[in-house]
Amino acid sequence: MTRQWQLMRVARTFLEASKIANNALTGLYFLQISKDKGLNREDEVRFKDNLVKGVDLLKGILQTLKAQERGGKLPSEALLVIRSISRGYFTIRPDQLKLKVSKAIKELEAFKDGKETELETAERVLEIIARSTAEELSTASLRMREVMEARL
Amino acid sequence: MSFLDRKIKEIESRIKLAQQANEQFKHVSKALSPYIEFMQNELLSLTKDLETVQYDLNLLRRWYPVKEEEYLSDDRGRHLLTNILRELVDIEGEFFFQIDILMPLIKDWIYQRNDQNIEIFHKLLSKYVSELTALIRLKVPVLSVFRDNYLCHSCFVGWKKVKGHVVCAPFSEVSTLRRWTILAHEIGHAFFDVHAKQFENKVFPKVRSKIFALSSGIVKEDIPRAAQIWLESWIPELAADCVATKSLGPAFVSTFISDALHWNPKHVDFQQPTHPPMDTRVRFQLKILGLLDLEDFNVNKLSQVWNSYTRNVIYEIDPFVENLLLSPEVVDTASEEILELVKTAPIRDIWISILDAKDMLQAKEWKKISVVSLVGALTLLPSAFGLSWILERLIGEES
Repeated sequence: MTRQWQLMRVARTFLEASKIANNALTGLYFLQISKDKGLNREDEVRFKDNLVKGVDLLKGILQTLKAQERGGKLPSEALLVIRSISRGYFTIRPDQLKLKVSKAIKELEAFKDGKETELETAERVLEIIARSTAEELSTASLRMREVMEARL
Repeated sequence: MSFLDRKIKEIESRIKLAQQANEQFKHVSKALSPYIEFMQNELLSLTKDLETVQYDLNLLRRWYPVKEEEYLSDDRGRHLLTNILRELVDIEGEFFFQIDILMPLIKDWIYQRNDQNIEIFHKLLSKYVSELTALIRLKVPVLSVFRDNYLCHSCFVGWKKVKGHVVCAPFSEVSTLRRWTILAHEIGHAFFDVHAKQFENKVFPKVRSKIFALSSGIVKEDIPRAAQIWLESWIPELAADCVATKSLGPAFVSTFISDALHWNPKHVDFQQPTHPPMDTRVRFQLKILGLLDLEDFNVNKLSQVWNSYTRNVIYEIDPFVENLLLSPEVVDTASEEILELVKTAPIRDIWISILDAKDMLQAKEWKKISVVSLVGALTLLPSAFGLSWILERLIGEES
């Protein structure tokens, strides 16, 4: 009856979200800088792929925010990420969060297609996901380490 | 060498060391294969991630050729550096959760399988767990190890791809077979992992809607937190209890109740409200037992014992817990939806053999029976019932 199973589950979710958000941001920054500095084809494909995965994550979050209203499917990983974004935004309301996430998706998709676009919201949302999931992850790791140390 | 390069080298060497250890685990036993393969793939993926970080770092350095002690003048460059650092933290986190935790469990398994004092009990435990997982038709491998406590460790790839589980029972209970019934709850967690999508599709939305529909005696701002506690923690815990009760019936519930007596029946840990209060859990289990309607078993007697205990304990309940978390509508909805989803009820098929085993043990007779029936029967016998002769028989059979 320990908490290990729950801690593992939560930590895995935050780890995945953190990886996707971090990679998407890395892709975004590299692609932005590459306009001045140049980038080989292989790297460009990889960084764009990172952006696509970031967009998919945001789409999953948006779908879950909508599902909360109409009582549809609620994937636990999306719920956990929504919780961490809300904390990162200092408890933003779901309707405001929905607007921000959907704006971020539009910005990222336009950027990926090579259109001139603002990226302010996309950067902010991804940054909040990366930062807050990393914080949640370190809390989960700490608790897990406590559980493990308690065995000694 | 910069601090970042040093960090990358350090992680690289940890990965190599783990790869070497994993290599040694091969050929030990077929039972370990899924876990060795899991770690092998994880270590390969970590190596790839680390190479990508190193590559990106080199790219950044080519673009911004500053020394480590100098500031990056460009905002984008600084953001990139932050991200590269975070990617390294993620790699370390992944190593911790996928390798650092699992590897000692595998080492313990090998040690316990080879230690002449533990080997027999370890084999018996493995047999018991494999019988239980077969009963609930769990299609992922489950390894069992003696550790310090009852726990379930999940091996995941990505969000939800379950590759296997390791369940643990306390070392101090190596020969207290009747206590092993608690493991059914841990196996229930494995069941939840495998069926997570169904719980999210069917149970989560209904429970969430019920919580959001509450209005009397609650603080509106508390609603999202209550929903979060139920969806993240309490539904999975009640689902695991449901699987355990439907697998072992009274054998699980009676052991659970004896454990629950350590707790205030309405206690909720406010810092980490990971489990519903014992009273909610026991009442749910008793409800399932009632529905199972097993032959020669009177659930009312067990309910009366629990009621008399809870009536005699004094406790105070926070309004958040009483009006929101434990609102009868929410608890009932969660219970009904979980029951609807956990269709399997293997106890119906094995109950008679548990009763037969109980009669056999009472008569001090012995014939080969399943470990599940034996463990189940032991919980139904008086606590003073001597186990030593049973252990002798089991050891004789296994050696």
